[in-house]
Amino acid sequence: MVHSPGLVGIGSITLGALSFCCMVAGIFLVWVPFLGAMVGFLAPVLALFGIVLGGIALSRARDGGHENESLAIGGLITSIVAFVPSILVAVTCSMCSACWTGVILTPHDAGPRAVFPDAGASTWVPPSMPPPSVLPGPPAWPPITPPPIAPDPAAATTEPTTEPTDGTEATGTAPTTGTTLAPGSSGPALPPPPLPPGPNVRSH
Amino acid sequence: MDPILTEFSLLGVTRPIGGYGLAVTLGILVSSAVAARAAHRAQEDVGATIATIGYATMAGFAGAFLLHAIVEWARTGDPLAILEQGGLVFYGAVPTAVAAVVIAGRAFGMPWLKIIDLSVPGIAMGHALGRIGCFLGGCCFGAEWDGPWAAIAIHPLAASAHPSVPRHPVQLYESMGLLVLAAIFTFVKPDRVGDGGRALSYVALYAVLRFSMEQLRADTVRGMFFGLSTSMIISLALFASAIVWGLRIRRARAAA
Repeated sequence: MVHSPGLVGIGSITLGALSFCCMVAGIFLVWVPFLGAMVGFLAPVLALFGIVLGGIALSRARDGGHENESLAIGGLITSIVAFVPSILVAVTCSMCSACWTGVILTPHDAGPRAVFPDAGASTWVPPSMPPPSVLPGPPAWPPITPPPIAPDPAAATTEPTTEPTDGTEATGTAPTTGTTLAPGSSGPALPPPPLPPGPNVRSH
Repeated sequence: MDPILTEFSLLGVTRPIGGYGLAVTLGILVSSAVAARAAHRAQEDVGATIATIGYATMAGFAGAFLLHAIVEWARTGDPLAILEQGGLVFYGAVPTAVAAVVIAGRAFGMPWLKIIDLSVPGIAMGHALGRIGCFLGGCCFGAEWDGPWAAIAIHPLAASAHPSVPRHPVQLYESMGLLVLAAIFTFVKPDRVGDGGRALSYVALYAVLRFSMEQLRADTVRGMFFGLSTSMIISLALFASAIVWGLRIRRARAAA
């Protein structure tokens, strides 16, 4: 029984569209065992059958005076366009789903009891986890304390030798750090400049 | 190299796009396009050629997956191991794809041997792209080697990253060799060597290439028998078969 090229071309387009639907379903059903893998792997197979039908339709259309050739070419294009993403989904999502199915099928896994009652009791023992309080946490950082500000050695040791009486600046050994003495006082008027940050200061 | 090339999102669901899958897809498209164009130039039925390619692709995938499943079963003793470690073996695709071409060619009334001859450059190009996919995916990796063009895989999904050491980029070597074969067979016209001559020459040369590349490979997990890997044994068998078959064709042509 030989079908007309138009009918075969429509079949090719239909298979290409079905392949595309299976491909989309394969993306979303990755986590469903069996079904996700089956649908995902079915998509490129359907696309390949669509390509085969498209080729047959094209061959018959050219034999029969190019009648319905556009349908055949449309089926070929639809199937080839569906084939590319479907094979990509098959080798990623469907392989992942197949791995998940393999995990489900593994007898020593905890999962099969709900899916395969005949698999018997699971022998898999979950690893005992220590309570969170026992788990080692991040290392405790020491509190960040600024380095002590050392007293200005110049200010501590330098005393005015002569008290000014006329309101002028005291003479004597003036501190080399630029600290000025307040008139009528023995201590420095301005605090010493802060020391540069010590090694305990972390930058973020 | 990264096994995950990029990601795509569809209705809020994000999925990865693997380099291996993309390369294999491109390889199939390129080899099919080259074969269809060669059939068109040779004034063969393009539609029937496309249909034959479709059958051959299906059979090739099935054979490659089947051989991988057999190897994994023999290695692990678990028939379900294939579910946890997917993959394809190129040599498994050869007999099934050829059988599909023979059956489909006869069904469509086409000279199947000539179709295979016409497809040889495309097959080599597609295979070269597939090997680049192997490099991206980190499978079929080479032996440890600290040379100037050594490759180090660091992605945890790549098999060659366990351990992550500098290795021979043997996938790229084979890819380059296949491209050279594709270039050679593009210029060697089928009518100069007779029906089947180009395909048999390709099989023999690829067997030599693969046998030499196997010396540099380190994924011995595929199984070793008598000091030879599975692919080395198949290479030897293919080389011997191609030589014997080629000699028979030559004698038949001389007798005619």
